[in-house]
Amino acid sequence: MNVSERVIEGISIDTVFTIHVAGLDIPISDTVIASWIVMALLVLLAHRATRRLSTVPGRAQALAEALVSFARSFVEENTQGRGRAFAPFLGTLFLFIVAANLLPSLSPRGGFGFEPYFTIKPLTRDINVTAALAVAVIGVSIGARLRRSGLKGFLRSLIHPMPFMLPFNLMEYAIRPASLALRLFGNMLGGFIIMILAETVLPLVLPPVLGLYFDLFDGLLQAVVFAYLSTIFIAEALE
Amino acid sequence: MLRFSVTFVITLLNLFVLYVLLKRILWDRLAAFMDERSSKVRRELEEAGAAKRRAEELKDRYEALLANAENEAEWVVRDAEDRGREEYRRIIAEAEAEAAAIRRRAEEQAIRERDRARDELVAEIAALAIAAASEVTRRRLGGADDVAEAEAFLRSAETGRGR
Repeated sequence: MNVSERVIEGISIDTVFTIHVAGLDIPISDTVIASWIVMALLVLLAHRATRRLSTVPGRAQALAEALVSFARSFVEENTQGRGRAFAPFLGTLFLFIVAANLLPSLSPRGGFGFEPYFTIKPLTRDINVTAALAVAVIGVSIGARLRRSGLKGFLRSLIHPMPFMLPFNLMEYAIRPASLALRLFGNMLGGFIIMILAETVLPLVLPPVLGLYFDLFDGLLQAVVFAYLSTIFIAEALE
Repeated sequence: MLRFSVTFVITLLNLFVLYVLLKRILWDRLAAFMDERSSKVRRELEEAGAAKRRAEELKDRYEALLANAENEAEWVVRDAEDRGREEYRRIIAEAEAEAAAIRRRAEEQAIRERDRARDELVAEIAALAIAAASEVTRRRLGGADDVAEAEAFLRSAETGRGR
């Protein structure tokens, strides 16, 4: 398999199986399977961390407590104390993206004629996944504005500060999720392609070094950026 | 690669399910636990602060009581000393008064003894004088002048006895 074939094979989204429901064929892609694995992992870890809560926490509980208190204080600071209720959503989003971006670093690697039995590819190389996350964020921010200002306040915000701003304000509701989704998608896909190239060009030497940035640091960074921008959007909706 | 598919909808559902599960298992549970622990720690700190304040108040009160007790003890000692001195002075005064009374009684007794001795002496002298005069009279009296002289002598002897 040459380089271009490896890249195309790497970035392609495969349908693993199809579910037939009410006369509809629902194709289940590898990214959906991976997202289920990520969900199961997160739920299991959360359950393990909180099943026996102790006043003096163990390691898992301490980590979970640090995460919860960081998410709460981060969201409260950025929303001037108005968005505390959104901390679980933003925290869940952050955990999902972190796990989705870091999970592939656990994947077995090929090279020197060795082809692993399975590989875990980043979920976020699929635009459907990042778009769904971004749309969820914009949906929640619209919900936050509706809850804070009511329908009239929301409609008035569309013509703020002048009525001729209506098309621009409407475009913002399309541009923001698009920028969120494409930033995450582009960064993760780019990193993934670079890693495939590195494995092809100089296996065993380049991947461990480049993987520190593209698999670990960039994955974490993109999760932080996504969660931070989501918090800002929700904070703006709560103003 | 950029084709939208049903994965978009499934991911939205997945995110919603994950949110519901994690909110229930992780966020709500842990947040409630942490809030309760924080309030418990705050409550215990407040209780400890109140107990400390109460202990300090008690300490101040005990120190004040102790200072009062020391003052009181000092006062008791001083009072006892004053009373002792007063008693000493009273006993000395009584003793002096008694000694004076004894001395006065002794002087009176001595005066009485002296007077009695003098009276006895005078009476004895008078008796001797009378006896002597009687003897003289018996030997030499013959005329009226002698009788008058004897009577005068007897009167003078009587007078001297009376003195």
